[in-house]
Amino acid sequence: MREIITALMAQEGTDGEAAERARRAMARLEANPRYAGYFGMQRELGAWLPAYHPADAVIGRAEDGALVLHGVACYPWGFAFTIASVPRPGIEGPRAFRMERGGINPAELMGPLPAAMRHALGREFPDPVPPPELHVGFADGSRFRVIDIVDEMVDRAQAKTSALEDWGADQRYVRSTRGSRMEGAAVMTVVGWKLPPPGPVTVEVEWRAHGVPLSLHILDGVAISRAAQRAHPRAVFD
Amino acid sequence: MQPPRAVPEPWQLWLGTTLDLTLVLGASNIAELTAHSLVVYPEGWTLTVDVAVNRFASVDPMDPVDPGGAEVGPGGLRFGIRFADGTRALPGLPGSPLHWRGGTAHDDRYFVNREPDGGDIFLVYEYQSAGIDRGARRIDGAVLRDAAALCTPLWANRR
Repeated sequence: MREIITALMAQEGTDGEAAERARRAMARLEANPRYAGYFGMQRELGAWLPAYHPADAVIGRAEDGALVLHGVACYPWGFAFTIASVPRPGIEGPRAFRMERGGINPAELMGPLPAAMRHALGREFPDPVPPPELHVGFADGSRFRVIDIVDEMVDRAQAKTSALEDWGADQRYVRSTRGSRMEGAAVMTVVGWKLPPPGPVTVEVEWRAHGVPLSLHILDGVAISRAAQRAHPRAVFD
Repeated sequence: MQPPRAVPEPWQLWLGTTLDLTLVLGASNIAELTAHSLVVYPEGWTLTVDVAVNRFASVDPMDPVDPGGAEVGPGGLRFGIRFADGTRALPGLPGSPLHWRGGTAHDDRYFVNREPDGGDIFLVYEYQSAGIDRGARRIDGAVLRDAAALCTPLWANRR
């Protein structure tokens, strides 16, 4: 969400009526208790410099590409890792092994918008292919289907919230954001709120649209929690 | 921004190695400049340079920043690399091994297209509008070289 607003401001500048409307829209979102968990996570992401538990791995593979996990960034409040969809070199075109977001309509999230915002962000077409199915499980038996934050925001704004757990500050949850790209790869960031209990952290991935069978990868929950002790707060947030 | 490379990027060829390394490059009462998320490949390495702004600061130092180009406005964030042999690299200059590879409103991802040879690396920075003077932080080049040796090819027909 913050990414949407900052993208708008990057286009519109930080002055002027459109930017002011964007700021007000952001303030409304931040004041909405339904999104308290999300904004709390965003604040914590910015407030800490993580330590890393290196756990690089190929967690899914098909003829046309691979899903690559990098990280894990460890924080006192939880953890984060990235999953990149990497096409095999030479595989190009619309069917390339790449998770890309379709357009979203921010009016669904924030109500009526200035024309400039609609022009900048109002593209509305589906993802080229469905994203990978991802589940993260913990040693206490909890298991989460990893939901994309923006998809969930849209669902919540449309009141399709019955199947979604709250983002309470004291509850464990796992979410993802996707869309940040490097040349040749698209990257999903997976964020887990709360450190894992001692034991394995299971990452299950399946991407039928690109022929990736169900694959299971194990992360070390103890190592993640141990590394988190070396994270430190950013000075500007003291 | 520089045009995409004609050859595959290293992350299309290799499973890179994440380094457990975060560096505070510079800090003031306005902002903190850090480097993190280092991933090493045989041909080079990537890192993220991140600006955290003090929300209570009376000035907004984010502008002007042009991370993809060689031109940086007065007071804007300047970031570069100095290698052990004295070579300097800035993003956006022809032939530079330092390439901007995207980012968000508060961070920038760079690719350093130079094989880790064991020589020390210096991250050089200056961000006057945020009250951060010019400085440099060293990265142990042996750590990068050792991490590069741990990389494995993504595809069976390589190496």
